[in-house]
Amino acid sequence: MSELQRILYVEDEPDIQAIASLALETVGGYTVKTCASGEEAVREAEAFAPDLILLDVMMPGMDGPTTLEALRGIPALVEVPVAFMTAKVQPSEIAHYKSLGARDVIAKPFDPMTLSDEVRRIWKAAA
Amino acid sequence: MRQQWSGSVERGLATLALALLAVAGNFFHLPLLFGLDFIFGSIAVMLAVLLLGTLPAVIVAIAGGLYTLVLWGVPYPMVVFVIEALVVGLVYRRWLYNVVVADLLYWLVIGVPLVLLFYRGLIGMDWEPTTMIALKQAVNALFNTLIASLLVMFWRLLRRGEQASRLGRPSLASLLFHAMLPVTLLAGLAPILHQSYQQRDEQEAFMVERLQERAESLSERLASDYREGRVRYDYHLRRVQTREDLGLAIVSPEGRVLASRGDVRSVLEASDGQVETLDRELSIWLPDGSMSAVGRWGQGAYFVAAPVGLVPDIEQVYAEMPAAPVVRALEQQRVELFALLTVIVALAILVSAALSYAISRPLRKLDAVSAGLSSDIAAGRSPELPESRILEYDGLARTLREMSRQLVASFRQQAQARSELESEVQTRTAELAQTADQLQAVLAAASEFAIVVTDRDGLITLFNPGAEKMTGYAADEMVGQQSPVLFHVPEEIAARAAQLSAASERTIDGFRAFVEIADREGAETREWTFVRKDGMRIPVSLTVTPQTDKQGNISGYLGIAEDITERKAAEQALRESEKRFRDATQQLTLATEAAQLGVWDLNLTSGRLDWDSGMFRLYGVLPRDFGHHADDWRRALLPEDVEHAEASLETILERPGTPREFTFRILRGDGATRHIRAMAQAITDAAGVVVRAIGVNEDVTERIEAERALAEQALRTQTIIDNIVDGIITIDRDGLIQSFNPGASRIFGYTPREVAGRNVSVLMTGPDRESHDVYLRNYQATGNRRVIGTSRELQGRRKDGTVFPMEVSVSEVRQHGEPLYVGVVRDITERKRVERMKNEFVSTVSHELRTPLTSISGALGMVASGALGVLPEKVGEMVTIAQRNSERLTLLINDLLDMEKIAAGKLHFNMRAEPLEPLLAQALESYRGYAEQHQVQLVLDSGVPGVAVRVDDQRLLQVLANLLSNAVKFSPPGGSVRVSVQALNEPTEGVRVSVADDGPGVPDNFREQIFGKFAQADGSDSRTKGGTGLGLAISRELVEHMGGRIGFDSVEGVGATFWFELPLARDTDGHPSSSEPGSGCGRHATDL
Repeated sequence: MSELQRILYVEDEPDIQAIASLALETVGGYTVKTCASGEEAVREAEAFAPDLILLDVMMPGMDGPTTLEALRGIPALVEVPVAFMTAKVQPSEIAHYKSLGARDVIAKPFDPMTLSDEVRRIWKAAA
Repeated sequence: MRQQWSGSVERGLATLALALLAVAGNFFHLPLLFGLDFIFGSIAVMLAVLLLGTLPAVIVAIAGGLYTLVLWGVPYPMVVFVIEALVVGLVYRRWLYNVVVADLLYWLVIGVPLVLLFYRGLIGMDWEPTTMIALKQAVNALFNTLIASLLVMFWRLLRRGEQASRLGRPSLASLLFHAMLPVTLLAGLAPILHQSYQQRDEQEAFMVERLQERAESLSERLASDYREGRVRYDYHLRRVQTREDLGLAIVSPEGRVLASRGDVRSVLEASDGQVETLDRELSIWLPDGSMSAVGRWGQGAYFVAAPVGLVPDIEQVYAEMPAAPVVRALEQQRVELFALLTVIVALAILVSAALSYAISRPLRKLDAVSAGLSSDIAAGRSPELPESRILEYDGLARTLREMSRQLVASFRQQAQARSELESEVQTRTAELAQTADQLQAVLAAASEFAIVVTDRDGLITLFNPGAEKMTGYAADEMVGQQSPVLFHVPEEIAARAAQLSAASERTIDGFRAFVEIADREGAETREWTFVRKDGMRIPVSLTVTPQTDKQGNISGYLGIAEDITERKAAEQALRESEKRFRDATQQLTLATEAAQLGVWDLNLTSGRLDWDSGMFRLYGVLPRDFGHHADDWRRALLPEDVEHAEASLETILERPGTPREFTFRILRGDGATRHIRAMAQAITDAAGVVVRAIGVNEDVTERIEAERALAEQALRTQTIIDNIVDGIITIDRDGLIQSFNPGASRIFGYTPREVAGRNVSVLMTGPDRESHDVYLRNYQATGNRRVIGTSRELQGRRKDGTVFPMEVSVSEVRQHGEPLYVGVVRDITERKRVERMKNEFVSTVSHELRTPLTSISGALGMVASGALGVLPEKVGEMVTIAQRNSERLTLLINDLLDMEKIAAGKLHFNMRAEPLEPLLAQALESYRGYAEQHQVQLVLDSGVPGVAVRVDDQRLLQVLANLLSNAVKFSPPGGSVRVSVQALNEPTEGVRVSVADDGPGVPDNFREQIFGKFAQADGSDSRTKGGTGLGLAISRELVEHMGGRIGFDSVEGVGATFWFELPLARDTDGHPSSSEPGSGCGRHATDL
């Protein structure tokens, strides 16, 4: 795992999903797999074998923390770093997400031009 | 333990010593009778029996026996001796305390039969020697036992004191026995020894006579031959030898044997033996050898040497006969003698024992009886003392009996005397106790009188309950410790002392001031003032009497004091009453004038009415216009009140003696209508006929009008209170509900009657309910307020138990000196609901807005960045505008959310002590890019390096971001924004962080609203400068939440300085903490 390449991105909002994956693919040059729900992510994740997982927090059905817990139950993905993408970025909220096992939190709205760099920074910090 | 051990060692050593002594005693032997040697080993054995016990005695006997075993080669003596030690030891220790008798019994019963058995039965000796051995051993043993017993007896007699009692004192019987036995034995032995020696002498005399005769016969024959000139040695020898065992020898002067016949060993074998001369003529030759003396004697020979005169060739002739026949004869006699000796010894022992026992018997009896003598005497019994046939014993018993009898009598007398004395003491004690009880009862009962007894010097010895009550001091703290001076007025004592000193011309002070007169005159009664323990003073009448002893000397003083407060008060009251009486008239006048009363007096007999000046003043009538008639009064009445007033007066006249009151209106002389209250009383003459009426008038117009106004006011107030929407509740100092208006009833569902007098906490819920009483008391005690004087939101509880939010304002009023708390309660359920809805709305809207905004700003960002392809210039411009505004919308929503959180109290503050400077540097660093974009320089000028503040660092950064963003935004290009820190000393220790810019400053007309929500100085500004208008409002909330304050200084057109102040972080000691030592001095600037 010398270089970040494969990102699993879970987001229920199609517009945000489109923009973020575009930004990650175009600006960062990553291979991005998008999932519209936590359930889908849990189904697809192992097969995709991501280097990093980005999770929206507020989603219908399985929300971000529940999805994270489910992903952690898959042995092959135990070591894969996970970051939340959320508008809830109060210090206490960030601390809460980290305590759940997330490496970091990316604030919404995000800057599409710097998103790739931020993702890379999180991945490097986890490596 | 140790003592026991050392005792054992001692006994071991003693046993060893006696064992050695036994060997030595057996080694040393003494010939007693013909051929009999006494040995002394058994002395040691008997000493061991007497001093150490049976087992040591047996050990000692074995040691002594070993010696005889070696010496004689037979084991029997040892066996006999060892059994002797064992048996005598046991018998002596168990039954017979006379060792000699015990030994005698042993030899009679066991010892002699054993010897006979051993020597006759086992060895096969003849009866005679066997008997001899048995008797000799018995006698020898008895003698040794006697010697041992005597030694111990002497030793015991020589010891004194404790040692003697430890060893045991010898009894008289024992003493007598030991004294008697040797004497008896010596007396018995002497004739036996004498006879023994006499027998030998007889035998030897016979021998010497025969040998002498033979020798002389030979000598004469030889002399006769010589005279005849013949030498016939053998012939003569043959003729002279009359028996075969006679030996003869003729010896020349040279000692040569000239001729001999028979055995002449004394001459022929002189060198093989020794010669002893027994008396002048007889000698005995004894052969050498290891035989016993008797053995040698038996093989020896008696001889006589006779000189032969005239014959030159012959020196002496010898006649010799063997000693064996003599020895045999003597031995035969010796058995008899020994048997006799044994009998004597046994008899002597038995007789001595019996005699000593008999002689000491009366004394023993006496001793036994006298042991109980003292207890008999003490018990008053006459002791029974034995009589004796012996004069001295009887005399002693008689003397003792007489003494005892006298002692008994004396004891009885003493006992009786003691008993009588005890009885008398008991009676006296009871009498005294009764007297004391009576006295105590009197003292206690005299509770209205202080009774104090002192000694001569004034020290209190008795302080009755009356004194305790009167002075407030307890008897315990007074008796034996204080003088009555303690509860008197010192000045009063001093004054009295000075008075007495002057009269008697000598110095009298202190306690003497109380007793001087009593000493002289027998008693003194005088008024004094007592000072109670609590400081109160009471006048008393004190009577002091001296107390004298039997000799008439003063031994102390008795003081009896009576509280005369009431008497004094009565006297005072009387005096005052007299004075009042004297001043009555004057006072009445003054009183009526002061009270603006008028006094009238109607004489019914004459019909004359008199008024005082007060009446004229009240009615506005001049005295000269007054006709002294009741009609004058009637005319002044308001027409509509005439009937009522007259009827009232009539009633009074009908019922004399009872003062009555009535009111009416008058029309004064000046035309004014006044309300008059009248009080009147009818007075009768001796016959009971009403003759006079006296009364007073008072103008009560003002009072009546004031009452009316007050009633109207109260009605108005009550109407307001009854109709007001808010609940108004008053409670007293204990929290009990006094009033409860209809508004409160509507809010809480209780009627006023239901809650009146109940604790107001019934209207509360949860912790407020429990702590309300405590809070109220705490407030009353300390003045610490929490609710009173302010408005608070609390939870209320309705009658049906439902809980609702209410706003309560409580104020305190005072009524009749008592606090009264007025609470105004407003049900804010609806208000709360609206607030909640609003906040939820803002929150929801903000969150919902953010989702599409993320898409919009993200999409625009992607397009504007050119990452998706180059845009035409106009399109790029438009996209940039759209992107900028979407960013602004994001900021606005963030700020709105912050405001909503602050308002809802949901904003969490993580307060910690943080070094200020790094936070400032961080804030400046994050705005550097923004500042460069605006061509503005950021400068940090920290005047207080190292200082720490107590903040939430993220919130502080948010405030700094707002202030920096504003400052940069409003600064002209090329300008600078300066951030500085100053220490504050007043009013509390803290720091002020200032952000100064070179911008246009704050317009004067905007100063008031600048920290309000959505406040921006100018609409056009908002477009050019951006911002939500919430930054400063949020900053103010954040700073105030962190315990600081925010503000600004600005001159329009010159620039603005926004600042906030924060308290310093304090360590546990309350000192401002700092992140580095030596902070607070010097300034340094950092150019960023």
